[in-house]
Amino acid sequence: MSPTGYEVLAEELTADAKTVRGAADKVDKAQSGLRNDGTLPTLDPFGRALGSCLAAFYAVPLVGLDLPFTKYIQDGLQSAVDTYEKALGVDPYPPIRNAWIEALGNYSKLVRTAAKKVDDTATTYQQQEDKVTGSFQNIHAGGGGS
Amino acid sequence: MAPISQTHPSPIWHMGDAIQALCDKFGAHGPFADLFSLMGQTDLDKIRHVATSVWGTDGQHSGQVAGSLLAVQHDLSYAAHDATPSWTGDANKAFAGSMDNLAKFFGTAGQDACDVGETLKKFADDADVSIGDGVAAVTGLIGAVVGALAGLAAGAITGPGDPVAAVVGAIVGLIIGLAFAYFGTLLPKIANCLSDMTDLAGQEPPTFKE
Repeated sequence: MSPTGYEVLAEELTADAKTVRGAADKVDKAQSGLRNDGTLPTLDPFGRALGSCLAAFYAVPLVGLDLPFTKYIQDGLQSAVDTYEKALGVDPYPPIRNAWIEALGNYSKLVRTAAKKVDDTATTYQQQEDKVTGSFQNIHAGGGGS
Repeated sequence: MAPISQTHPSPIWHMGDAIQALCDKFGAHGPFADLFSLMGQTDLDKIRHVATSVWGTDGQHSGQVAGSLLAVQHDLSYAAHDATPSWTGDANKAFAGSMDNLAKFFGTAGQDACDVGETLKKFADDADVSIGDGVAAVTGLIGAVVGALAGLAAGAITGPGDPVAAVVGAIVGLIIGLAFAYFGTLLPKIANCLSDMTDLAGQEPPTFKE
């Protein structure tokens, strides 16, 4: 017996929901990869080097380097400090990574919600088929009359 | 993957220790030990690896995050138009429109993830070039300075009152000044790259709006 239109639809939508759930799994995998492999402890030394440079800048006169070019050195370092002061002591990467780990969790929920809607649609069509089939069964069950 | 001190070997990474030893000799306490060595600990190859393999830097060679998001875009687009050929009518149109919006959003998110990867890679590449050029230019000079500093710290002179120490101190001071000036030009370049990442940190990942 060939499947009815509703059955075909329900099967296609069930398969479609599986595709969408698979997409959500990909997002989960990306989140897991970012959480496990996306750390960058190696940026930290840069931040500390910048902090050390700033400390050294203020310490130069204290260690006897009060020479004619000290001013030149200080000016050069001051421009360096001015440039990176905004990022000084702060590694900008962890907040980026953390925000994305959280966002990927939300993306996964979003796709799973879409998958559930597709599943629900498949169920709706399946129920319509059952209803139709059921009505036929009722006819047959009560069809022995007159 | 290896830290900068190994990819760009130079005595400059040990200069902080040499300066600190000399400072200790004269009873001064400048925080120099970390100044030159810390940067050498940074592993730019690791940063590049995370940029390309974890984040992704373009559509063709996307890492795990961007690649997954772009694959989701493709899957949702397929789900919207190709997976249910028997389904027609208004309900299907509404469904396809909704999935198209979602697919478009994932395309944007994938591109934003690529931007993170590209910023990281650019940081690593720019820092690599700046450090490589800078280290190559000063390595010979710094080698001599580190040797001289070590000799001074070991007791070749008696102290700041020694006239020989004054002359040597002036020369060493000049060379240290050059080293500081070198870092004064190198660090802003690296700081500029960090600024790109700082700007990126101020941007939230995209959120979906129905």
